[in-house]
Amino acid sequence: MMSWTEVLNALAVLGAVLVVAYFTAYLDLCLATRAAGVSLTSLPKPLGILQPLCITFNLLTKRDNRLARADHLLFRTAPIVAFVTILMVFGIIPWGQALIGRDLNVGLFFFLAILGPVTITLMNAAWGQNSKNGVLATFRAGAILFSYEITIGFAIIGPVMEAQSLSLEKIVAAQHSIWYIVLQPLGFAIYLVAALMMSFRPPFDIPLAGSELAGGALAEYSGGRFVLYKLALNALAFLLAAIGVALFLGGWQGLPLIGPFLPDWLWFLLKSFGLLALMLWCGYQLPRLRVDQMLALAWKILLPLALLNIVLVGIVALFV
Amino acid sequence: MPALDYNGAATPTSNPYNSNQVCNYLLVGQGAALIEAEMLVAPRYARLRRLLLSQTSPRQADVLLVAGPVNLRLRKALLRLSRQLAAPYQILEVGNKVGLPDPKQSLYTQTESLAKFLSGVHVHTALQDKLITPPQIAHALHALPPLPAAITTNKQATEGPGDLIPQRSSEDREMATEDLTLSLGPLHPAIYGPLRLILTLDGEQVVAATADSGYAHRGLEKAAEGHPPAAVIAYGAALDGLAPLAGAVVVAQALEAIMLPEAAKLSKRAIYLRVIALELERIASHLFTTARLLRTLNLDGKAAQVLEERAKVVSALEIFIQAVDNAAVSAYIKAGGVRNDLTPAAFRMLEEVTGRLRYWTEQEFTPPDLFGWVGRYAFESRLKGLGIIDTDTALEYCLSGPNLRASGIKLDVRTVAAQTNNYNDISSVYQELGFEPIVVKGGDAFSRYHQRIAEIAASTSLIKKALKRLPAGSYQYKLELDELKPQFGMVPAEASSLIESPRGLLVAHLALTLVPGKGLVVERLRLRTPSWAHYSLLPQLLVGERLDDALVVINSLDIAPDEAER
Repeated sequence: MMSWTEVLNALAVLGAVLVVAYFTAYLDLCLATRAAGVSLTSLPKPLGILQPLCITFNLLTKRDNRLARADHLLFRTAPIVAFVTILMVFGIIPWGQALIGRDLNVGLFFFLAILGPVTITLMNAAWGQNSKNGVLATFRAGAILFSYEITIGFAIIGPVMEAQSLSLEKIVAAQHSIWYIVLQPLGFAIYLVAALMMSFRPPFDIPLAGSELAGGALAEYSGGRFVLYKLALNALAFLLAAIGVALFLGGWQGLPLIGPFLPDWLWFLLKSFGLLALMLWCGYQLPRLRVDQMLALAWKILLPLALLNIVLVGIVALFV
Repeated sequence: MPALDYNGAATPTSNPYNSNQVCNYLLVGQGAALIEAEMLVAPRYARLRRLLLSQTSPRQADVLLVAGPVNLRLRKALLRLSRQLAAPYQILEVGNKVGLPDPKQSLYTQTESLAKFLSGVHVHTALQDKLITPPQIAHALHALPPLPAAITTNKQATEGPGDLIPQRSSEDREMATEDLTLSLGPLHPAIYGPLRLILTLDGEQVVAATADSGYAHRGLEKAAEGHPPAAVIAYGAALDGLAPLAGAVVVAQALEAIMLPEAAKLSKRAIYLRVIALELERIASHLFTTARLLRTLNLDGKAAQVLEERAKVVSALEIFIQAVDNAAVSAYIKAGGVRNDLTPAAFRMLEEVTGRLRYWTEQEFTPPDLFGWVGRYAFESRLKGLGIIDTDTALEYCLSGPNLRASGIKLDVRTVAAQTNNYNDISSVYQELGFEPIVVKGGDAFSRYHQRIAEIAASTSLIKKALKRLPAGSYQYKLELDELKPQFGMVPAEASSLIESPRGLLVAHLALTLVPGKGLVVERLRLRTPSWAHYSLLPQLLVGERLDDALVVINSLDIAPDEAER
């Protein structure tokens, strides 16, 4: 039986996804503008905060195309599956001390297991449109899937070892005295790169490569489905930043010296958007990598470093 | 069909700078490259850029913006693309008569609107015979009527993607991998202008490539025939949207070789002024090519910064030649000299721009400062070893310009003294200025990138020197065309001239003849364009590259389809 609180809980998570996805889109817009050397004061007033909304309404007026000879089941369900998948992972985000949708004791394992299918939906979307560019996008998405899944898996083992728990709430609570970024700077850096790969953001937006594949995996979507996919991808980027904050930046806890003079959920949001901005900003400074370059980076550099990180964390945990 | 008649004169009711209406446009056509360059310029159109969003997929576009002339082949591609747009959508044609000095004469380019070929679609035409600036585009886009309501009852399947996977029987679907034939272009977001390549891919690797040209052919040479000599310069200028002055100068030189009496010489001052204009144009063109390479690598922010510099150079050029609007750029070159002298305002502007550029090429454009070391490593690893053109291949395919010099061959027409005529020897001016061709070795995409940066620096110092040594004298030799008629018999008088355009060796061959009743007219105009040679080499160069690298190679060669196909 579902109780009313659980329904409210679920609705709150849905609302949170929509709100953070919106602000992620806005942040992305600001950073893209800033990367082009435009000062933020030239944004539409007031600060262009309504810009993503205008774009969304514009896109929603388009007809949802029914493609000829497409694989309709894969093509039409992909954005919905992607969105629902990401929505499920939002349930485990520790927004605050008492503000957590559901604290699973296998939280991080859930996060990894559930996020895998997001790439699968991208492959479905690309394959389902039944076009040549789509096939290329499918194989690109498939090729990079394992590289970041394994890397990010090894990167988050560090905090798990340190906190002796897979529960995000316990990991955040364990950082009460010292944040894990101090103990594991290497693990944090690896997590950042792998998260950037996992969120399909530049310079790793290989399956979405707008210019190379003429739109890539999302090329054939229009109207509501396109908006939903964009929303899901924005929510995914925020999600990865939020998990990064929980793992390495002390989650909802205030700055060590200043103390918690802000509400805990606000600390969490500020840190998450800060980390997200850092990730996106780095991405805009780099050229898009080729698939083979990205695979080499993940398998030859990040994975050995992640293993080294585990050894270092073990040594620190044993002797310090 | 509601026709939008906006030719720049009428003030549109809505000011795009005050509007909050978002417009997603998909920009295609011959003029797309230039417009995209202008639209990306950061500070001037920051607000417009955020409201007018460029899309890469037709499924998400409100407006299909067709820029520049459309020929019959391109029309077919456009009609196909328009069927992939998601309702509701509109089509806006701009400048479809630009680049045609006499639209009535065009043989290959359609002058009627696309509306004729599309039923039930809202097609609007604006700014037909003007070159377009972003505010004008913005005005035209915002002056469009509201989008028609989406047809929700129509459940009929729309046109699928451009390339469908061929259906195969179950026996064929065993383990065998098949080559994929992919049509790259003519309307592709990473390719600037209507250029088409048919690639055969094994996985992502190109195993064979064929160039399929003809989407940008306008029949300029044929169209020039039968016109009076004074009009022929406009046909040269229409050759290349990115470098109209180079085309104008090369035709003007050929014309002068025929028309000018033996004793007359073009004044040194006129040639100096031409050199300054040409070098400014070269800088602008190279900056554009650099920006386009950066965009191919998804570095839109960096590209916008480069284009911002280009905008400054272009505005300096406009002040220098006193252009009223963009369309008047080529009118600066007159047979016998240039249209106007150097003004003090232009002199100051040029000094400022050359100072900036020198600082910029030295400080910012050296790769370490532009990207930081991680970025530099990533940038170089994307470009190095791509599309290597060795010296023999370069010579075999008659490459020229920066692409040739990046392969290590020291050949620049600016220093080739033996011009076909000695009246207006532009190379002697380059010699006076102490110009030496710049050669970067390597022949790969990275060398070509470096070559262009080095040439920007060289052109900057050329302009500085030319301004310093500008000789006094007249800037125009008055050509009295009517008086010269008796020199000609019924046999055509011919002359050739050559010039180093931003893309390479540009040759014009011009023949004039006397037609009873019509007077002196153009018998024949032939243009040898550098991009055509680069385009011919492209299929061979792409074999073995991956698809994403292939696009880098294409954009590193700086092929202008309209110039290549004339």
